Amino acid sequence: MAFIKRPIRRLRRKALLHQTFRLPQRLSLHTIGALREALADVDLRIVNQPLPQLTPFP
Amino acid sequence: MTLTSSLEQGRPPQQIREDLWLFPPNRDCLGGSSWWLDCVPEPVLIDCPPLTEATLQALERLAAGRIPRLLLTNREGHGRVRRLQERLGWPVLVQEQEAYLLPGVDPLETFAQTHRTASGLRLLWTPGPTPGSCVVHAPAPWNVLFCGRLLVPVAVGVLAGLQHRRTFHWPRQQRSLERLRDWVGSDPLPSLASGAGLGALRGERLAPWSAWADGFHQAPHQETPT
Repeated sequence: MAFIKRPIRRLRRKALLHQTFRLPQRLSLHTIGALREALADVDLRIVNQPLPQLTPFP
Repeated sequence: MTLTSSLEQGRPPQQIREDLWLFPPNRDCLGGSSWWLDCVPEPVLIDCPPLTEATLQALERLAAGRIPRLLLTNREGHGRVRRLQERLGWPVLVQEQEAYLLPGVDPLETFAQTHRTASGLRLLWTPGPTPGSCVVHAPAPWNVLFCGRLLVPVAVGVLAGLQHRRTFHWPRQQRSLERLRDWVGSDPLPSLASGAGLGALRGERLAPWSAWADGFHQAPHQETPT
């Protein structure tokens, strides 16, 4: 069953991504992930701000 | 918005060394630890401590009229930093990747790759646990490396990079750990102060450099990201 489970899991993950993350304003998965997972004092007004130009990851 | 609710009494920080204090675990940061380093001319508070009466009193006493700087090593250490900053007015320094999480914080400074504070502390961007994770190296005479969540206590006397479901990018975290070894240098090797929960150290607070385990650990029962 393992050979069936793995693609299903992948498809499910993709479906969830597209369903959950269909949001406006140039929001990246990075931003959404941060919003969902950070326990920070997040101000949701940031979703309407354009993303700044940042240094690329090393 | 004016805060009218009173704060919890809480517990004061524990003095570890003459120049180093450790605050109680912060529930807003999943039990993370925050540190106070009394360096001259600009003391620093590393990560956000629990917002309690005892914390505020201790911070005002430790600051002693100076204006310290609040350094945030990763987004899981932000806690209620905006409210703390509203009360104390101290400047906050964060890696640019995570500055957008703190829109109401003023003054807020950012850095990209590396940074040096007025007291000579060095910061290095080490993405992996979160996109904007960084470490703070306090060279001699303090000789401490505040490693945030890049190195996490996993057993008594052992710190290691730990992969779990909140890890932003595991290969980058491994690369950051390798880069950190080169960046710190070898003379003299600093003690390690983790920003994660310190329960696994069973009473120890600062760990020697030799506590850094070479292997990378993976939290049990976690799916490896693809």
